[in-house]
Amino acid sequence: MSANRRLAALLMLGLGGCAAQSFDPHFKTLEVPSEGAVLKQLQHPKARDEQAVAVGVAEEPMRLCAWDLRGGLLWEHPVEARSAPIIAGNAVVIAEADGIVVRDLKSGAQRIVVDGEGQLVGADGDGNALVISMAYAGEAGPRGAIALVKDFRVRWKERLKLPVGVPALVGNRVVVPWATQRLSVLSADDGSELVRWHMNNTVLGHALVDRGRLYVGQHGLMRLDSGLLQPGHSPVVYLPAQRPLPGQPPLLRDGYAPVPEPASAHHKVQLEFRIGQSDPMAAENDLLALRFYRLLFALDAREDAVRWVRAFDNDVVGTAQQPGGMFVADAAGGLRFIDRNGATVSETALGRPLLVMAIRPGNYVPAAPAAPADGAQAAAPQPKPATLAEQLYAAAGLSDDRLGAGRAYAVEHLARAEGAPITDQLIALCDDQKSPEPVRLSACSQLGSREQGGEHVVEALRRRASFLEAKGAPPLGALAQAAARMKLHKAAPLLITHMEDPNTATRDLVSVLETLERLDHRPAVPAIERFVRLHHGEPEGSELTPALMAAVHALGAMRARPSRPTLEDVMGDALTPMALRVKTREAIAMMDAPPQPAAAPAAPAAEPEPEDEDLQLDPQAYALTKDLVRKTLTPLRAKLGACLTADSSRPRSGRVSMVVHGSGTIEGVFVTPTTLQGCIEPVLQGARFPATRAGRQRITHIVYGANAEKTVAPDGEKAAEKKAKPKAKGKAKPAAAVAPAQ
Amino acid sequence: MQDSTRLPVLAWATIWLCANAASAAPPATAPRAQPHAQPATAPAPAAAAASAPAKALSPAAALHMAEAELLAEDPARVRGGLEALANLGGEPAARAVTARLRRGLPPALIEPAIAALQRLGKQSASAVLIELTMHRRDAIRKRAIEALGALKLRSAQSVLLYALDDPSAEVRSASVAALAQVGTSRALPALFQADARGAQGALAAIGRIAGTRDIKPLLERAQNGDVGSVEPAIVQMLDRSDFPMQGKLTLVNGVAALASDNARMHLVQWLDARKNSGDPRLRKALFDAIKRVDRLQADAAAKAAPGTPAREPIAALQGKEQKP
Repeated sequence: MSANRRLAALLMLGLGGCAAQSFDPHFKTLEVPSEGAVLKQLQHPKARDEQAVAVGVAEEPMRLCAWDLRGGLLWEHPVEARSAPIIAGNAVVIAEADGIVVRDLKSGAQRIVVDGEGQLVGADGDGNALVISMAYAGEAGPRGAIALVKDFRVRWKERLKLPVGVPALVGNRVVVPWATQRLSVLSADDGSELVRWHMNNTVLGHALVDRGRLYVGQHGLMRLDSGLLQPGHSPVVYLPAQRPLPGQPPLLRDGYAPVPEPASAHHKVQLEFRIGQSDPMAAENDLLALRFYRLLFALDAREDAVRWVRAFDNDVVGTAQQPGGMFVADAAGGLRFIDRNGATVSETALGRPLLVMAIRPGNYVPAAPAAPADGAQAAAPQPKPATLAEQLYAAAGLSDDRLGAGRAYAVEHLARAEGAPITDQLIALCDDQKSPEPVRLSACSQLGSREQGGEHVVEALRRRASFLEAKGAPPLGALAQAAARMKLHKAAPLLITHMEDPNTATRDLVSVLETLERLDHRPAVPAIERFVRLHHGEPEGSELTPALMAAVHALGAMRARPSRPTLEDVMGDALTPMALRVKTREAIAMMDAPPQPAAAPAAPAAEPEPEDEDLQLDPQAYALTKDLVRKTLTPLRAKLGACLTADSSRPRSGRVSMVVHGSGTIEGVFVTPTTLQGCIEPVLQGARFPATRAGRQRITHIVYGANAEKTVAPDGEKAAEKKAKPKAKGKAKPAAAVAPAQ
Repeated sequence: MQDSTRLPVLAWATIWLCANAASAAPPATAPRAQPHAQPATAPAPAAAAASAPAKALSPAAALHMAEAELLAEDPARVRGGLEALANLGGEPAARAVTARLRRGLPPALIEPAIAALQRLGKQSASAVLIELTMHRRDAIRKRAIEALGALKLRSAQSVLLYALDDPSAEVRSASVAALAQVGTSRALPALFQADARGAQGALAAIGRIAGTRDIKPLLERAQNGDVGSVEPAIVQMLDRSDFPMQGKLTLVNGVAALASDNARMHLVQWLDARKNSGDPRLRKALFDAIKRVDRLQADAAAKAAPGTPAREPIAALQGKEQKP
């Protein structure tokens, strides 16, 4: 035991006898002073005149540093810190190797070791008077203690068998939450207990004094006022709007837990707020600061909304609210004052890498730099501030794996914005395979709920996975859900292609099939039927089962009568699993049921199904255009159509997927129904597309036979189609700029 | 190919045995330990026929019986039916297997069905095999592609090229192997790309199907004289009996023109591999090529540092020169 600790222990023994017995289980309310008198003393604490300072633990080597926010570095001392520092009155309280230490704020010199065994829980101070609470590990002996230090001497110390929370000092009174629901007021002179309240309906972990007001609470804060004494009175608790947050930081740290060590992640994932001076109680600036490593979210205190978000190069290790903005310290030693709109008002380099920083701004609010006087050289034009959506997108796209939950939170709030560009951004985030799972899940989930940005959804669906071109599949499940929600008929042909592509993940098939059903896309019926026919023998429990169920349901819901023989065959096949047979029977029943009367038109207008959407091209520039493909294939139309006529299955149409080399030669051809492959493939070998700079390109082309019949749309639909046709065609055609290069 | 009209007696016996084995296979319906137990399902036609003398079965009856087995509830009987049809041979048997595959089978039965089609060797199977290249299971796509290659269906090339983009490496490998069997020079650009992406066997497939016109673009891929990057293709071309000798000589000369140590090393290896066999013209060309490389290197060295002695012929080459 060091000399300091021995001295402290001896001092404690001597002082123990001086302190009056407090926290007695049989405490009786005193007549003098009365509860009302004590409460009156506590209601209006004298406003403190505090120096604006910041105290941080710097690393490599570890040292405790203090800065005057108006000036510069005050002092710097090597330290073996075991907790973050607490600025209290004219002192800094911190757990060090020797124990709980009080240092002089002016010089940083160590003045006293208050306790060699306990862990620092909280401290408060006014001038040279400090109150410090601590906790002891282990079940035997005291669980907590509270000590009063004045002029760097321990005046008294009370040990409890129950835990002690974060105390506050109000004049000559010490306010102590303890045992989670009790609040005692002690005399600062001798530690005697004057008043005790037992609050059965709320948890008390913190007492704090700010700008002449005393607050207590844990999950919310309430003012200590006369209302507390009135029977049946419900205290007014300030509680910002509740919401799920990344890392789930509490509104206030656990008032009974020791202050975490400087390197703890607790300091980097934290919610910070301050009660404003207005009535009724509200958060200063109406915001909460959520720091999540190097992200700083300004949350609206009244509702679940983000006001702004900033991404820093380094983790945020300290924040403090002031009227009009907040101080923000980062791990590289940057100290900024950021206004309530997220703009940096001032910035200082402290020159020390920091693990954690406590900031007590007092009444100091940095002023914005003065505007240049007339005639002076004008300042450089400020860049246009980023919109909230831009800020959120930037935060969501950060490549830092620790930020997964924070990025996902940014995605969630980004998706609340309307507009097509947001959909595009969500597609990019959902598609980013390098992103952590929570980010992608959040983006994909939000993408599926979008109602705007159909053109981006279609564009994304045009991409196909290719091993040779090192391209992955687009996020198909989410895109399909978005297409369904937007009633995006243009997406349907692309979805069919993806459905038949082995690159499509099995888990995405259900979404694709459900979307084709919701879009009632009849041309998908042969492909869906083929899928059911090929795979219906999958055993029970196969990962394909959900997709098979969805496919069968789609055929039933779309009243695809041509597929009825296939469904009957599936139902009658002894090797079909029972669950699928039952589902197939239901689908046939759906087909046979009389049609439901047409429902009232839905609110969102469906995108018209393009009449001539028989081509899907890669989105590459300098690639084959629809016109070029048509021009190449038109001379072959008769031969291709003859293949359909000659086929014994008499299909209405054939779906030709081609891979065209950059030189214009056709490489791969895949025709469905596959009975057409032998006939169509040789015909296409005669085709030669113009050379392009795009390299390999995939094209899907629908060939119609003489036996194909156009579905006649009802008059109303026809009129709607006519109206929408020019727009749809105009959109679908590639721009003139994508003509092939010579 | 087998013809049902000339089916030997031995084959009939096989059908009978298969049908018999298939009917006896499932222990639930005909447990050996309980000879008197009634089978849970009605006796299958093949099983009924098992008691009949083999000589009584006509080809049509055997076909009919095997077809009926394909509709059985018991997978073992379906397997037996497939086996029987494969043994029967002929277009009707192929049509029966094809039809059952098109209806859809459990994955465990698709593989034997494809195997049956492969044995039957009928081109009419191509449509269903192509359809199976779209199956969700990698193993089935791979098997279908192997069958397309084994059936040597030229018309399958487009589908095989399509399958080079498959997400499964095994399917891609099968596709490369099948292209080596049925591919034409049209497949070369995709195969080169597949090789660049690390597809196994792509270069060997290129060597199997490349023509003399493809020598130049092939050697252009030997960056910095690194013949190793295209060696599997060159070896295939040198070994092919259907590749013109003139093309082989052009190829060897092209490698020599690279004038790199690596090219020389491979020329020596190829000569070594043919020291006791092969066309003497090719051996001479290889020997001359090595000498040419040495000369070119010596010239280059002399230009770079005058006075540098020319490389001595390595001992391994002494006495290897043979007259064509």
